[in-house]
Amino acid sequence: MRVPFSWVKEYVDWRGSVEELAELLTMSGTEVEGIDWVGAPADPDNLSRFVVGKVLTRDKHPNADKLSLCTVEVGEAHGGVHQIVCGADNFQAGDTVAVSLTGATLESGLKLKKANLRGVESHGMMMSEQELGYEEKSPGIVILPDEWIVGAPLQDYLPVSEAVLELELTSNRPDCFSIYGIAREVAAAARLELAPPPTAGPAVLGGAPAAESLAVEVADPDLCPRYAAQVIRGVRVGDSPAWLKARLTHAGMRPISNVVDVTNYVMLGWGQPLHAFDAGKIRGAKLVARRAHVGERIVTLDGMERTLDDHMVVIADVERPLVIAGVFGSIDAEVDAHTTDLVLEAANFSGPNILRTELHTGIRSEASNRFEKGLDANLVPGGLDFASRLLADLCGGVVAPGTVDVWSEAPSLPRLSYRPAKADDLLGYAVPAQEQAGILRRLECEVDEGGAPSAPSHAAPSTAEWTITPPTFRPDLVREVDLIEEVGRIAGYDLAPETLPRHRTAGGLTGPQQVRRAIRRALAGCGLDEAITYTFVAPDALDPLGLPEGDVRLSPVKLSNPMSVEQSVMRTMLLPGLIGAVRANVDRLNDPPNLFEIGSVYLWDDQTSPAPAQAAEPGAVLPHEPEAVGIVLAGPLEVESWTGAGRPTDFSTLKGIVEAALRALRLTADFVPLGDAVAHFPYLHPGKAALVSVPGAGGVGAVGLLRPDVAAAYGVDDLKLYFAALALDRIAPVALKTATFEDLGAYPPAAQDLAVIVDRGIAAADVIAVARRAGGKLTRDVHVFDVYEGGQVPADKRSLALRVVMRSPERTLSERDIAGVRAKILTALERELAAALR
Amino acid sequence: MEDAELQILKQRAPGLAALYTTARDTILRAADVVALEQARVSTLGRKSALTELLRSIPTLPAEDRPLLGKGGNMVRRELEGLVEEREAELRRQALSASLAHERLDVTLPGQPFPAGHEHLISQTMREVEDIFIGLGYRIAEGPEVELDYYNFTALNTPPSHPARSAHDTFWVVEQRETMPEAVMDADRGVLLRTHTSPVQVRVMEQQRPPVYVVCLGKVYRRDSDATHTPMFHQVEGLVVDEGITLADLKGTLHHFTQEFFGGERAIRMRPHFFPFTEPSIEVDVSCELCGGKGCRSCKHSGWLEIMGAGMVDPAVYDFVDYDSEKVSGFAFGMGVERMAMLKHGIPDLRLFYDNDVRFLRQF
Repeated sequence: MRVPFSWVKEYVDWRGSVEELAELLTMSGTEVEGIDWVGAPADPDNLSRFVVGKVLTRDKHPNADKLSLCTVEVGEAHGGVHQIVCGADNFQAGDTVAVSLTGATLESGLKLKKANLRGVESHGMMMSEQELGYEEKSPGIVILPDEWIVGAPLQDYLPVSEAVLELELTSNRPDCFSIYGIAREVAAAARLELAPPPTAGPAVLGGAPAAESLAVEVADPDLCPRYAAQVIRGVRVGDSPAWLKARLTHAGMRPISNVVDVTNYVMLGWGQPLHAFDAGKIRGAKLVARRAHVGERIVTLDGMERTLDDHMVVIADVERPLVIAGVFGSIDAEVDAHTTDLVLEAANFSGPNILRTELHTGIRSEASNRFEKGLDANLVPGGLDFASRLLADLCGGVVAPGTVDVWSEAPSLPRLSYRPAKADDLLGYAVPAQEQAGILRRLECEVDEGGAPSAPSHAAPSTAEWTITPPTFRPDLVREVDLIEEVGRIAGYDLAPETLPRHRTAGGLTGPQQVRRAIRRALAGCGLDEAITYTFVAPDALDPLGLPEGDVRLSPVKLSNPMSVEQSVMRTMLLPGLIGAVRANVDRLNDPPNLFEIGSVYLWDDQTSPAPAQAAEPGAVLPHEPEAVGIVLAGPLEVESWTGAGRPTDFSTLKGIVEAALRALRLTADFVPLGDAVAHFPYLHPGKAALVSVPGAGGVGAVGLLRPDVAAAYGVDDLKLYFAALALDRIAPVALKTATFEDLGAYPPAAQDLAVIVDRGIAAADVIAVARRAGGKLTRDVHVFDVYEGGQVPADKRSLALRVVMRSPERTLSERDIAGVRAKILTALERELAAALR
Repeated sequence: MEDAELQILKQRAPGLAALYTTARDTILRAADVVALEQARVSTLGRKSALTELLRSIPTLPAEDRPLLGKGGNMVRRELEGLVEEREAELRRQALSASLAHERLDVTLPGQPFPAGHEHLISQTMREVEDIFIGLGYRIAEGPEVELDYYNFTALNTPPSHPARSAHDTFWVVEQRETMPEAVMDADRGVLLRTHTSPVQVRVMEQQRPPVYVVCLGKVYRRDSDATHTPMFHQVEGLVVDEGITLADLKGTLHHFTQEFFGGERAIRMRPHFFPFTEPSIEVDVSCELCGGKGCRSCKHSGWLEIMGAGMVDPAVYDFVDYDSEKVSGFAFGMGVERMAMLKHGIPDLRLFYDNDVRFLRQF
């Protein structure tokens, strides 16, 4: 909301600067986002060059038909009478005008100089509303009221320069959506006197009572708790005075006509939205507040035809809807240049219903923005009186006696019990009881301190209990704690000392949280960069994978209102996001990256969780959100350097990374060929992929080369992508178990290398398993340190070089011990795997 | 041999002293190992003057024998020591001379070892977690696909609150057995959580006070521009215990900002409104760039908004069956990306999700 500084000062006697006011408001709960300086530059020297003047003579310019040569009195202090050449035509001698003198800098930035216009000197300018910044375009100069004192600074009457506070208001404070409401906050926070409400009604009433010209019916009092109307006859619709245009423009609204401007001015100043009907256009002299019929149509003031539904309220006459209640008027009963009689509406509508109507129609007006927050029905009479007086004063209308006011009983005022000591307890700093009472009273709460107040004390007795009745314009004050907040914020949170709670718990990470950290660190330690991708993906993101029909990964969690199709379902795999990240890097001409991501996937599988009973959402089910680790290798980890060629990434790189990550969790893993599981991982190369299983946890994922046709479908056909997916939720329960010490052994180990030739189809793991078993308890480790194919090795075979490490806990192994183990291993390999020593 | 010893030797056995000085000079003059060997042979060898002298001692008069015997042996030990020292010295010189020819270009790049990076969001979250673990908090977690109940209702958000609208919140098409055909309005049970606050409620359902937790994770809002992404990360903190005050909140958050941003950073609390806290505040930290004087980055206010917070609203306690007469508490929430942006001077939120390795590797 835009709050002109000079306007708020009409209601509260603030003597400080606008910056100080902004600070006061911000620190008491009304956030000031900025100060917008509008109009002419605000320095006093410049403002002294804008004065009230009186046209003494107006003659034709000797050399120009469209110009006048005038003499203008601007007061002794400003040099008495000036000669001014003027191009406007809407004035005559004797008019009071707004004069900017030579040297003044205008709103537009133009600096006035002594001018020579077609051979005649001009000392200053008579200003238009456009030049004052009140209107975008104005046909002539401003004619001011004759009572204004000639020679007086114009700024005393009109905001030649204005500072506008730009407020960010919160939805719980409908009372702040008016200048008077803001003034009330200022008064409360600065301990100043608030001016009486600006809502005094018109001095003179006349004509037939309002009720004789208009009937009002409220069909849905739950949606329209109050509907009041006033009749004003004989208005002349025209231009608003300059001061009114200035107020509206500075507050962010456009001047339209005196009638409409008055309704907007009262809304801005007092907070009650109003609507003016042309009484002559209301058919049947009756207004009905009712639900719209389904499909009912209305042409709103912006010329758009709108179709309504039966949750929306309209104000209708006997034939047709005239207004979408509280939201937007229609052209059917619009006030126009020929309007003479008005029906002025001040009503109260249900906030939630207005909000719904806004959402469904897409219309949000200054009025609906206020109604949606839930306005005080008690604003209605003040709004009518305030506007009626202005319509009488500015538009020449005669206000009919009486109003038509339909409303159900005023809601009873809540009486809240309040303990001043409780406020101190919650805030952590003491606000003296009398100060607390003073704050609440300045906010217009009734404070009953319960019996005769004792001698003024600085601390409230801890047992004191007061009864507080908040004003009706504060629907947010319904509990003791709401009042405590008022006391706290007005007294100032800067009073709060800084303390720490008395801790009675020990901090720490859970097991799974430690696992997550450890695996993240391990993967980064392997040289991978961590990506975080959007968890929502396109519905066809998995299409290239060839997943079997009915696979749970093909039934994602769908969003009913995504921002785009590309982000419309929740991921069931990390793969598409990671490939997208690879592609994004390649598109930016980065080297193909090696990435990992740790995050949830979202599955409608057999581990969904139903809503608990207290959630009261019958049948609602939440998807399963297991945490997963995804790894994608797109380029070499060991890059080419002057020290040597880089090693290209291959399956063993990926496997080594997965092993390292698991090792960081104190786990080992078995890698077995996909076998039948290829149906579950159809996107992996069937011969260059493996299932990963972890002792105690079973299968935890798969690793392998992405099929080239799948990579191509993702637009990365020129890259070999190695991909791993691990189910962190399955790994975590067995991970990071406490390690138990293993004796280092007092006796030295002995190593034996054997190269054996086996069929290519025999897995290295099987060779190792046989060797370990055959080697017995002296064999501590068997691993492959070289693989050789070709050369003298037959085409269908390969040579595996094994290193066997033996050790005894009891003695140094003898040559015989070593030879024995070696022989047993060779025999077993030969018997079980037809292996031959090379 | 010390000068004083040599003087004594000169007085008492001038011949031996002369022999010593000559031999010493010969040894010290040897310029390489070969010359040194020759010098050793000539001064200490079988045919050297010294050896001759020592060999002749038995033939000397009895009164001269002790002096020349003792002196001669001393001179021999001295000379042997000199040869050893000189040899070590010559070897050092030879090594230095040969090392002087071995040169490599130390400005060539080192062997490239792969070094990966945790995402800045992960690093920031870990940093935040560790600060609060130090204060005695545990890390709580909850689902990202969440019930309206936890995200809004139990956080005291009225049914008509605008945050619930399809404009602001992502709603999920539910898997209900009896779900009607995609009726948007009826479809209001499950959503993507809009903040990490629902975890508050889940934690309080699970345990009784005292509660000291922070929750970090992904949240979702329908917004997309330089300062908004539809997915981002939040930190939520919750404390419920006996006698918790707004001053405790202030002290906790000041401690946190000092630890996180480093240095002396002031904070201030401004009144604000959230449905689930009362009183509610927004917290600003003094701008580091201008030291609070006002600059473009803080919009000339000297302050940067970093989080929303407040005292837990008693209405929230009602949902979890806590007694607001017995316990009180505070909650706070902040954006992880925003904290990282402020700390590292990152201008655009979207950089976090581009996953450009040139960005990832900066942190």
